[in-house]
Amino acid sequence: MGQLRQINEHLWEVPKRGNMRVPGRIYASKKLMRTIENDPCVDQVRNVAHLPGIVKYSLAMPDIHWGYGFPIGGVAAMDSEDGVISPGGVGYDINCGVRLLSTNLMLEDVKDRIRPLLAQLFRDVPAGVGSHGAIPNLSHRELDRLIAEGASRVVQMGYGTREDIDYIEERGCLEGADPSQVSDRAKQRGSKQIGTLGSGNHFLEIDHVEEIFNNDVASVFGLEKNQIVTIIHTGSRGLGYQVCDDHLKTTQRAVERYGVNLPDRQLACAPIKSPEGRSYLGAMRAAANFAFCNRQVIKHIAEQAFMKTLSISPEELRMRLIYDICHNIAKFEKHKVDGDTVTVCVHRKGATRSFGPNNPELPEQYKPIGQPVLVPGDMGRYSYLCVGTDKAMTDTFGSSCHGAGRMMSRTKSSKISRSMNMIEELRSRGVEIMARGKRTIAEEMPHAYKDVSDVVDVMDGAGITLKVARLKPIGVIKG
Amino acid sequence: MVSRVSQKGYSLIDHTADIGIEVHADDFPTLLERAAGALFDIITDVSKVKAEDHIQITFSSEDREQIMRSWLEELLHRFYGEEMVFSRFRLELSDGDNLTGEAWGEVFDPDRHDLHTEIKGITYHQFEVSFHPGKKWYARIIFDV
Repeated sequence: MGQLRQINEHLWEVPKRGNMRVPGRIYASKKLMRTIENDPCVDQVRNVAHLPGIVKYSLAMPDIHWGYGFPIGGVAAMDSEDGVISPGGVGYDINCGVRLLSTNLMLEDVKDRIRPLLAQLFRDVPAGVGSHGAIPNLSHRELDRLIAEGASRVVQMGYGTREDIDYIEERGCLEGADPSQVSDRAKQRGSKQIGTLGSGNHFLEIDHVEEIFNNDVASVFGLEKNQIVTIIHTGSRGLGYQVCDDHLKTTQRAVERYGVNLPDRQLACAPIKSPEGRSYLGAMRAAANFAFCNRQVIKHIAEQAFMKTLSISPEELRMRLIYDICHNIAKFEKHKVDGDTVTVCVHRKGATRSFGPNNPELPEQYKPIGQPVLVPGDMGRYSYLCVGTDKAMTDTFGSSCHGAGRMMSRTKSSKISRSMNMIEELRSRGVEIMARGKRTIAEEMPHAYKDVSDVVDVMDGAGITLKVARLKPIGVIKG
Repeated sequence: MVSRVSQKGYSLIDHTADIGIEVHADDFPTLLERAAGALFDIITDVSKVKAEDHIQITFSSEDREQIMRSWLEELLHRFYGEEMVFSRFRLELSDGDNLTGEAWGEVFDPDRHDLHTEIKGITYHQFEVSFHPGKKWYARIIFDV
């Protein structure tokens, strides 16, 4: 650990050297650091610190792992006047994120109906290629409107309720989305994919509340032990990927044009105020809005599937959105820097916003307690619901971890899984699973991931997000 | 696995979050054919893909890395746009440095084809297309999945 300096039990500093503009800071326990320190992701934390306009630190959360240019689990705030915007700092799956839905159901009500419930969800929630989006024949004109207006547009179309909008980060719409900056190719990919789950690590999961750590906060979220909740994890699908790809090309040219000196070409970026920077921002926001719509539509489909399978009314189910959060995003936010409140462009790549109490961005109901932060784990173990703090506002630009973080490659994971019946293995842990992709279950098996409790405990110990409840999966569908 | 790799001219790279390939070939057109074969080999079981439809793509760029990217991106675009999967590829040099690529395949049918791993993008991460005297043509490509 020679290159890293331990600041306290949960925090390490990557000292400033060479052309780094700021130091790096990595949140981790000693146990997690043993994996992190030998990974190229530490170099990536250092590389991000070279970007023009970076403020305070190049930050990494404890679920950090190697990404393209920026590490996954990375957070970087850029000066809104002199800083840069980088598509690599957001990632390919723009506004990949999660939403947590509560229901009126208890474990007792569904434990014998999990298989038919999963089968219905599996039939009704489209995965992607080979299936059709939930909104067929979405014209480019309608798609433009949808990516400009965000989740409220699909609510107008009948997917979910107005109440949902208050419980989505940014109320389900990033202002300044510019559909004209999204290529036809991206729109072509997106027009078929509204309401599709996608493959890889994306999922829809039925959980029960296994343990509550903070009753007062849990009660504000309307949660009690053994209650059934649902998690949806997906993003902007092909539209977001294409936006990232298109703008990586333009920002690579911008790097030369504006003479930005980079240690890695995947950090391609453009000054925030440049034409290239503004173009990416307009397109990225549109893709983010697509993702909000996508999760909103899937919520509606899931609600219908629950009601149909269990033969219950909307009132009996009462599927309510606790919160929807972004994992891959860049946003202008006000934060305190050296005692002054300044606007910075916060890049979160595989990181979650975790605003503390009384933040004006939060719905009224959550202002006394802070923002819900859902941290999904692997599909065999558990996920955590946490809450943001004031310390997150001062130390991490209101950011926290986003998941368990992979520790094993997909090829290695598949090889190990070959000797196991993963469906039976998960069933023995009380988890039913259905997946379309033959290799998906093998690639996504629990031992491919870090234990999410190790990750969450670091953020809880550091006071950045506090644990509220642990959720245990009982049924998972994957693309 | 080993024989399959050598037969198809590529091998998989172990990468934590995604899937990468290394491709070797005696000439650049073959390198492109093998990279495309690897792309669809990861996506589906290509032995079940019938060569019913045919597409043609021409490249005029002299930049080999750019040609590789354009070729794979175009094929991926056909996969997402028209839901086409391909099992056979042919690249030919035409006048000067111009290249013509052809691919044969069919529309993805979830009843007959398995979707193994959805490849979403061709990254710039460690991307390399190079010619080494003796070692011949080499490409390293990391796919975002």
